[in-house]
Amino acid sequence: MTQASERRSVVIHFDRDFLFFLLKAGLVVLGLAALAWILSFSGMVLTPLILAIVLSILLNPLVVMLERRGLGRTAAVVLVLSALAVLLATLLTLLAPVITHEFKTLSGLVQNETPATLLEKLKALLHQHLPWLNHPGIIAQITGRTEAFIQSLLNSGFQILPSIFPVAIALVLIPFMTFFLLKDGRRLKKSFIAMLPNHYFEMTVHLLHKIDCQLSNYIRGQMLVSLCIGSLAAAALALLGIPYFLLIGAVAGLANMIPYFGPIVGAIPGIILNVVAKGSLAAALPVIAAFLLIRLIDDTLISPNILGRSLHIHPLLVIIVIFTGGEMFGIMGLLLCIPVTGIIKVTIQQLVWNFRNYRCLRSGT
Amino acid sequence: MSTIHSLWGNVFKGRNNVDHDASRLLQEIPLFSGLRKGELREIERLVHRRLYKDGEVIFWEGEPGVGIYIVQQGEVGIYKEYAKAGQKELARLHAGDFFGEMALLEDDCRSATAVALGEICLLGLIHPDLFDLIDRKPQLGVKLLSSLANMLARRLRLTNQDLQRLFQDAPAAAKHRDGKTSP
Repeated sequence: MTQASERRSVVIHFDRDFLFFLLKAGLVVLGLAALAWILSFSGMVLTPLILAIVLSILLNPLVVMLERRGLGRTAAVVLVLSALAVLLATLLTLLAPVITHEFKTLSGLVQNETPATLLEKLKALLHQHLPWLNHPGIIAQITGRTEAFIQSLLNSGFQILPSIFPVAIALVLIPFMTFFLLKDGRRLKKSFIAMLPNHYFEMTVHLLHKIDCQLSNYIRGQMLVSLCIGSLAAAALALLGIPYFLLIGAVAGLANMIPYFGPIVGAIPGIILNVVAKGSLAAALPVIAAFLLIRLIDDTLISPNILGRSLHIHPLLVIIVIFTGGEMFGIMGLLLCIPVTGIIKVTIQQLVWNFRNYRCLRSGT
Repeated sequence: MSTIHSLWGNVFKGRNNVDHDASRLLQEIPLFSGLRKGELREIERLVHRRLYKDGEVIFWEGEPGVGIYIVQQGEVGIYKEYAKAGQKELARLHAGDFFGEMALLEDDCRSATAVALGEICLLGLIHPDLFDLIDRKPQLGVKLLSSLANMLARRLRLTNQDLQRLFQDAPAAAKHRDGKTSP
């Protein structure tokens, strides 16, 4: 037998069933994409849908726990969502006075200042602490850039007002979508599997199972880590006597979902607010120290125990993906780019594994 | 089609004849024989109904398995070395028979190839769904696993009996062969 004939020829095999499946799947994907495209003009449905998917992944273990105690799926979903609504309402009632007070003080602080007065304060701080910067060129450059930044910050603050209407719609849509995703999610998955040609049935079931496991573990783990970081940040800032500790803690927790940059972004509001409130650059030091300590606890205790090395994405790829996601889709892109990269990575890995193990993807073996 | 049906389907719709057939069939399968009506409905919600054409391969020997198949309609052939020179038919399965049950318990490869003999309809119960069910309904899960264990124990006992018979017959066969070959 010659060496050439021994070499296995690998050809991707497309049959009629597969082409039909591709056509059907393509039509469904096109239809969904068209729907998403139409709806994404207002952003009123896509964002709630993504949040509902995340929420349903988070709440599913609770629903399963109730099912284990003999409750039907629908009853379990209703009970979990009702309990969540009661919990949120109670938290809001308890925390509303604190949050309102923090917002009022914060808005008072911003309203009493104009970009010009904030700039003057900043100039005075720079003169006092960094005298070597006292060069007309440098001062002009810093002033120009800071003015533009503050102006854009204040403008974006005003832009929040018209977005209250979509927020109200989202508040109705998210629980509604979460309910149906929790109740009928399994049936939707089964219906998707029913569309697959027989050749690809077992292989796709394997693939979907892997993606489901990895994504669910990642989202649940990430949420738990964010909750820990947010609580630690709020507790540390409260101990240091820093104002608005609850708000800063919440921002730090949310920002922590963005790898590498998240912890820095989470610390910035705390540093700025403390420096502005105390009028001294030295006020930044305790906040930086607190966030460094939290980072250390996260790296050594929290993340390794909760997340493990679940997605194994290379740091270089993480940075590229974060910048691309942020550039293309804004904050949602920043938050979702890593899970989406994770899905793509698991899919590619699983496809390669399937290619090696399933005969339907090979011929001439 | 079924995705669209799921999305647009009436929440209050009744169950069709196919579902009733599947339910009756599941009841007759030894693996699910000890289950109550509600529990059978739970299994019925999990199974995937697949239609195969004549000669279509259900799974290949050596491929990773994901679950068990129950023959709802038609005939299935189980082969070793399928489509090769040494092809050997191991069994022919009919409505109510099931195959591939080892894949429910272990992440190993299929030990034979299953092929549709004529147009057939199968019900597939896959490994991730079974473990999700065990997580959600442990009592039902225990019933299923114990039924599966019973079935495997019965098969092991039969295999042992076959082996015993083979060992008993082997010396006699060897003697007979030696007698024939010696001058």
